[in-house]
Amino acid sequence: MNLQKTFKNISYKLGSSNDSDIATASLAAFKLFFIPVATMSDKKATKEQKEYAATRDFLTELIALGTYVGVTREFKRHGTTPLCLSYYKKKAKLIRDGKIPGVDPKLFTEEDFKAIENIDKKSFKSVMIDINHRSPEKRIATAEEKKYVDGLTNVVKKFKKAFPPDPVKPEGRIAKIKYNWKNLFNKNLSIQLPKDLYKNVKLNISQMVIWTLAVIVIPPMCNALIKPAMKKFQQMQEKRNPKFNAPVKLDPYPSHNTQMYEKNKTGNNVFGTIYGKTYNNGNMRVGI
Amino acid sequence: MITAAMSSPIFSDAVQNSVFQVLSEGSLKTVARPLFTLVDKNGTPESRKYSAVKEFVFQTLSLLFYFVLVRSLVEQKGYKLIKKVLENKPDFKILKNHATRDSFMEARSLALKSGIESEEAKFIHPKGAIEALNILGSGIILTILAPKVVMQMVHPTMKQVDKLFNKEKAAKEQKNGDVFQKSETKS
Repeated sequence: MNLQKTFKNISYKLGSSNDSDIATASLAAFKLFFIPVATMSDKKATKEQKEYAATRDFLTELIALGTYVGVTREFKRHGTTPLCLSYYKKKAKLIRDGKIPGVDPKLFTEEDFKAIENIDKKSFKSVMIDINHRSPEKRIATAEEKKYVDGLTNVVKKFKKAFPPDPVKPEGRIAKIKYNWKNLFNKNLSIQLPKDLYKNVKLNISQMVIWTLAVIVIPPMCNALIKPAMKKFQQMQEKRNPKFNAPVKLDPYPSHNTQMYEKNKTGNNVFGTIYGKTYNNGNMRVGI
Repeated sequence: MITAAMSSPIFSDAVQNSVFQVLSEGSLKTVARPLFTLVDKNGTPESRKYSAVKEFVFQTLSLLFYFVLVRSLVEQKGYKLIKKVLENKPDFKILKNHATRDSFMEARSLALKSGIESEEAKFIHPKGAIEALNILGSGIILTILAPKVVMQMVHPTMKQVDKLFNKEKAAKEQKNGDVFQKSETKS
């Protein structure tokens, strides 16, 4: 019963979200364990090479796991709503200034403009989080907030109607790529409804953060942390398998102790080493 | 510019495409990780070279494995397995209407575009089960199978890299030697 419930929860979570961070983090969790194990099992590599590579693999995936989940979630949580509001403000300004071809600003009242320029952040955020994240039983938005966002959606729909239809995507792979590239940051594309906009911004933030982490953040962090990590692993290894220290061999002839010669060494000349004290009985030195 | 980039519907369409996701991230990692490993000052040159070559081979092979095994085997066969096991369960009944994964995904994207919540809800659990199986399959292929192949390829690749760099080094040394000889003969 519990297993069924867990499976249902997982399938709901994965099915209701298109974010790439869950898949990427799950793969990082797999790699965290299996890649260092595979590296350590390489028979042709030296111990040093294996230790360095396995530590690096482990560190990279550990940082990736933490940052893909934690950092991406924080960016989405705090960045999505402000970007959505900024999008509507900019769209309103473009329409007001008549900068979008085919859209007549006279079609809209001042109230319409104000409705999308001054959106209530709290209401917008709680309704959007409900729609995009939570299962129906866990929703938090109040009836008032829902009503507010419904009103906002109606205003945006009014703006959307005035926009000329977006250019049709051509058939064929290369033509599609060309079209996408040309319209990637096209400001004249039709205004997006709040629900679609929130979803798109959330996805885009997620992907941008993952790219940034993968290229600019994780490898340098790994470079900075690899030395202490290797030291720590070595210490752990030594704790688990303490080095066998052979007992000190006693010198049966203490007077022959070479260390004493070294201690008493006072200098060298062309004939050999000069010793300050010459009480080395039984070991006559030749030459001086 | 940032708002335009972040709110672009075209970009988010691309981001939702798993081929784009994997290709973009994989290629960035293929270049960035070995480069950072080579500039790291903590390991010995041999260890860094081994780690960088291993990383490069692993990322390249992962991309290949993803397109050959995950896309064709896990995604297509996995859908059939899920359909067989779950289609009679209450939240998964929509699977009965779609024989292939492609038809299921097409119907789902139409439901999402319609904006009707009850229509979208029908696809949530099946899509989640498909994703879960994909993650599991990719995990097994990319982290258990791929490293075994990588380990077979690392040392031959390292030898090739060595040869390449030694050739360049030898050529440089020869060039330097020629210049020295010339200067000596001149003097």
